[in-house]
Amino acid sequence: MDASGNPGERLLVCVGPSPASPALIRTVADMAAASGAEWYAVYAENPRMLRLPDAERTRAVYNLRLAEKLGAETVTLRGRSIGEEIVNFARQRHITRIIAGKPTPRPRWREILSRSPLEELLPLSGDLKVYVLSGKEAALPEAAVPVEPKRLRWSGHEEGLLYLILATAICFLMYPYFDLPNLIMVFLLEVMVTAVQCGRGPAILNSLLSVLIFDFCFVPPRWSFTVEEAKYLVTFVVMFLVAGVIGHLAALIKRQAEAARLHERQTAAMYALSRQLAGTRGAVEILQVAVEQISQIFECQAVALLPDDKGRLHPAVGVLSAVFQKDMVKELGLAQWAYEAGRMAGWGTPNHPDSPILYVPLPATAAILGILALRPKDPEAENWLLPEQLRLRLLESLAKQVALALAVEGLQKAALSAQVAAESERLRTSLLSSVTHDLQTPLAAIVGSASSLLQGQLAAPVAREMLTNIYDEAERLSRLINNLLNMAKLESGSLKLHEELQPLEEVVGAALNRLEKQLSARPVEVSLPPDLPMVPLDGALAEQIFINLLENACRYTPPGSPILIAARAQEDHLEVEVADRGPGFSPEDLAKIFEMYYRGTRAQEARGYGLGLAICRAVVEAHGGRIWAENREGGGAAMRFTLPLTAPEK
Amino acid sequence: MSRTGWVVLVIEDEVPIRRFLKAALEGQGFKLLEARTGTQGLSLAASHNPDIILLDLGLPDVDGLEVIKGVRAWTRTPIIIISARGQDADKIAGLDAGADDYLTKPFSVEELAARMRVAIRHLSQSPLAKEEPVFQTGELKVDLARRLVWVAGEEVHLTPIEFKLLAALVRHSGKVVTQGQLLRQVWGQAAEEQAHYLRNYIHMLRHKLEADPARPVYLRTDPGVGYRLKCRD
Repeated sequence: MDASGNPGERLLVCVGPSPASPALIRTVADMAAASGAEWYAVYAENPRMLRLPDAERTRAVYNLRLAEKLGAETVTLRGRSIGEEIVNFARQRHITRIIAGKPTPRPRWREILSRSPLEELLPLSGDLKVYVLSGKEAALPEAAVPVEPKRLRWSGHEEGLLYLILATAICFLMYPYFDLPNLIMVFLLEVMVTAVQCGRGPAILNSLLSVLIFDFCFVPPRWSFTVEEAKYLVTFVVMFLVAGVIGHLAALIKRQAEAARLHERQTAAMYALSRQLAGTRGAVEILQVAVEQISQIFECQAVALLPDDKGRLHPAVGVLSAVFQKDMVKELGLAQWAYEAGRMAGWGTPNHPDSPILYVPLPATAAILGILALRPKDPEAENWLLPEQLRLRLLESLAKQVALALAVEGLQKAALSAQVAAESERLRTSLLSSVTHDLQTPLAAIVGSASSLLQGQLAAPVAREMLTNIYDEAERLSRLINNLLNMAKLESGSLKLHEELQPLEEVVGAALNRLEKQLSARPVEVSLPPDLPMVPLDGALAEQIFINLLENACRYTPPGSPILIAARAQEDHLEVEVADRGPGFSPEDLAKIFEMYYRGTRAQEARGYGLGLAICRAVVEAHGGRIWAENREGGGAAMRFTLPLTAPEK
Repeated sequence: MSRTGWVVLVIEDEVPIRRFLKAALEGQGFKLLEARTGTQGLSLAASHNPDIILLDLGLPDVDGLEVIKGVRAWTRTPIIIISARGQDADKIAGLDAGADDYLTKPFSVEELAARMRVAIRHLSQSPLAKEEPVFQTGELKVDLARRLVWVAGEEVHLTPIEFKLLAALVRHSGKVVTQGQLLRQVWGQAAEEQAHYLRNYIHMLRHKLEADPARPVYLRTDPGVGYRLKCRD
């Protein structure tokens, strides 16, 4: 086979538990890299393979992970026939070449009894090109998971014996009344139950024992293994075979059902986690969800560790002491290693397999975002992740999901701060031009008036007019500066609300007192119900809301027209209104009026600063309320805002 | 009251403000002492024993608060704080440290004159002099000795705490009284969490004393600082 491929090719490498697999995977990875081809690493399992020793299945998983690290897309397939599954998959994904390793030599009798996966594959492949490579044995993954192979499950055998004794007892009860074939049925039933409950080994043992007991206890002559009639020999052989097959099939079905259940559980877990993560904002919250879900799925204690600026890991979420019970320094060192290397470490992995904790990196595209540390709840459960090796892969994909959520969170934050930066840049420009204009106008008036006074020789009424001008303009400047100061503080977030529970009346009163001069010629109706509840307010800032709204009302309405201040209590907030009988707002104004430096379309002649309403909005929002403008029935403008009756959470 | 001969010490580093104060105050017959720094101000206060002190809080050398404490260490000479906007916390600290009142820049000559008038009047009726038993401002009349209150000739019934609060304001009528001072004088200690009791009692007092509680004439709020009862007629 030529090692160079054409671009647009798709390769598929069959991965198995064979020690030769890693070499095969590396070869294919090189081929793919050389030709820029996409490649898949596929591990196909048939029900028979579910019986493989755990160490072998672990090796298969590690091989699959190796392929993934080398850039393959990895897939696990399950089905009755490995060959069929692989060919179907290859056709679906338009694979151009399938590459498999040479089958490991098997005992002769097995070769006669069953075909190897490769032998299954070849006749089905049709137009697909299948290559068989003889990989050299790789030394590495032999010790990948140094957990001992599963020992005999004595408990299973004991339980099987129990069923056997029970069946024998029933047969003794039935013996006086039933024919012998009926007793055989009882034993067959017993073997099937054993197979389902305890697995294949105990079932086959029981089928043998059942035959012996049947012979010894019930077949005449009783209490001896000798047999009177030859026909019973046939019965024994058939009984043993039938029992064996039933036991075998039952156990197989059970394993398949278990595999399906596991698969389903994993899918459900992935789905649950992704759904929860989708609805979660904030790095800590995301990790909280991840730690909760993962400790539930894997029956373990979990902690999320995040790096600081210098790349040192620190616990972020979870109960640290529950996971790191001793050797904290060593364990954190191991976590640090896993973080820096971007590989799993600790429990059951090549690096410190003796550690009671498993460290799983959270890998994003550019970097490792953190580490999940898992400690099994039951320290004796050496099979914690093993009985279903694929759980290790599930754990990895869950970690990836969490990392993805974290990465998205980070990107959103970055995008938001970029947006904020752009927005504040725009505001700064707008502020500069607006403030320059607004500061210069009153200053020009003051300087002009003062210089003409200094020149002297002005008639007394003219001089007085100049002085009034200076005074008014100076006051206007003062108000502008006050508003600018508040706005700058609110915008920069340095202004802390000093909220105290108080009657709204007090704030309204202070504002009306302050504006006594401007309002003296206007009827101002204040309609505050006597039972209005007290509301948490920053007195000085809230006063500014009323001052700005009242000043606006004065500025944009003819002198002498009335102003209304009203409030009423709603369920959890006050709704406050400052309304006038002026010209009202144009539809365009209603939407934009609270933007900084926006001036109403009808405000050309009246001089405003475009700041007043923006401050109102900032203050109202800082209190947790909202503000909006409306046109009143019967004409005029109404500014309405809400103030929550309970202070917003800080 | 005759203002001729009253000595005013102005502790202020800004020349334009000093120039304006000089023009305004000397025109009204006050004698002016000027200090550019807190240290200079303290030594002038000690050497010349002024009748009233105007103190800017933003001094170049020492904190205005230190000047207040320094002066209060040996004299009850009225001190009026002159502060910039947004210095509410400093204002309150100054008032609690013994300053009599405050003005926020920019202020008019009328405001300044009114504050000084009140401060000087309070000085003339020092606690050694006997308190005038009946206080009257506008339609509001308070008999401190007999614990009676009238509005427009009609007697108003106050609860003991309401009366105590009103009496505290009457004793400082025309001057601002901080929330902390009122809490101490009425409830005995300035418990922060009791601040909303105070507001509640002020609210009830207004409903009993004011014709329109939302536009108070007698009992006014200085937002962020405290309360001020209209000064004696």
